[in-house]
Amino acid sequence: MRPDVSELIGSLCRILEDVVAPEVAQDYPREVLHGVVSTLRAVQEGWPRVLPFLAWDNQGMAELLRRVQGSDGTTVDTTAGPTDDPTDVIAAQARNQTLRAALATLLADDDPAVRAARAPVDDDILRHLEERARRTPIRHIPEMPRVTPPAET
Amino acid sequence: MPAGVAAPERLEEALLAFLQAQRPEMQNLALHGLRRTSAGKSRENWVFDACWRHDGANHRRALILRRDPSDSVLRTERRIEYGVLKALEGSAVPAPAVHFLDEGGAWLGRPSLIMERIEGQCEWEVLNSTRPLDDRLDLAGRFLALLADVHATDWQARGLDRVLGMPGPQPGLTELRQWEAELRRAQLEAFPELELAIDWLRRHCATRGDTVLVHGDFKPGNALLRGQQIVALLDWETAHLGDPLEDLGWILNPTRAREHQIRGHWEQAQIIAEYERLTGRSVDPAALKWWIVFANFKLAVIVLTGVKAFVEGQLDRTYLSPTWIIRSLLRLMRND
Repeated sequence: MRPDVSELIGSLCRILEDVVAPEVAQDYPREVLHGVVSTLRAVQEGWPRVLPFLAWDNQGMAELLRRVQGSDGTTVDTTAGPTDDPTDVIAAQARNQTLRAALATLLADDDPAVRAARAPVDDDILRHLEERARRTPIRHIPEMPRVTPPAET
Repeated sequence: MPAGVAAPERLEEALLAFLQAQRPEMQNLALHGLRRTSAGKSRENWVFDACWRHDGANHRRALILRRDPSDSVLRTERRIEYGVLKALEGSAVPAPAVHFLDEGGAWLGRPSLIMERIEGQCEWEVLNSTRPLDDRLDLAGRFLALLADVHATDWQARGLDRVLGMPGPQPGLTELRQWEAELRRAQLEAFPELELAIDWLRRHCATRGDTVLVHGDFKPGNALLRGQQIVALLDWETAHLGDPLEDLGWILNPTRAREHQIRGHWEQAQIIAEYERLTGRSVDPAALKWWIVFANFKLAVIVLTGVKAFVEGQLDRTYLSPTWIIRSLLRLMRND
């Protein structure tokens, strides 16, 4: 499939940088355009890792929730649905949101019984979330403006 | 004037009408060089010069319009920012003079204020720039001395309690409640990491220190320099009365180290020691840690606010999930 997704995004970035950017004179749209290209580059680099990332995250969260459920009877659906297609990125994303919502609810619960049930798993939850932040495939840290000229307070 | 005045020519027309209504004595009022600057992530900043005749003389003044965008990474009130700037006039803090307020946006489309435009250079990472180390250390000291000046502001004498309100018995919990509410408004999806943070912050809430004027977003990127002089401290939109350690925690946030620290020379230990010397306050490490965790939490919420506005087509800048802040936040809590 040529151009593949990476080639497509890379070529779009080149056009924006080589053709469009030199014609943008004003500071604000120039900065916006720079942000657009930076984000496209992040997508170009990260998109192949999105599905593996979601699969890994879903499996890890389901396991953590199962361990807590085993302790206190929490009823979180942690099994993949029978019609789930492991290659379907939209389904994986929906599943991810469901599991993250369940985990968030669990972590926000200040019921002492729930906390006690969670306690043995807390360190693993923290570790998983740290690893998730590290693995997130499409990342973009906004750049700090360098120097703003005197007229631009 | 209809809401959402956007094109520069329409904005110029609206500005002229607004300024003329505020100062009918200005004759032949004209605006020059109106343009939106790239500075400012939370408000639209438009610079221009106003020229007019009065009492037989020509006048020209460099001004800046700060206007609410249709959505923002920060929801703050121009009315309060105007009140803070007015209250700070004549103080030791170099805040810009503010001239006009269009509180509801009846004239300029959205809530706006107009203030003096100060000549100076804004350099976010000046402490890690190519300037000589001695100059950077000198500037680092000047920034901290400025923060001490902000905290030394006599807020009662200047009526800032009437503008900003009091922070309540536990300023930390007050701030946490405010930013948790902002999170609930902004989040597009569940965020277990931030639920953990809220839980941690509730359980470890700092005891109250002195009540001071807190800038809320103190950084070189909100200051103007002329050489080694800090000539203005800008962006008072998140100023409030609260705990002085809030600003100290903000500048010691590990994710902002390039803005506030100089590796090997001006790090947490040196900054705390100098702050204690400047203010006479002793910094409680546990309380400071709470505010550093809070600074990460607040920054993550600000980014998520940007994500929502970006996804909804209200913001031109790209915001993605704040993974680098989440990592810092979780690391800090894990080391508890």
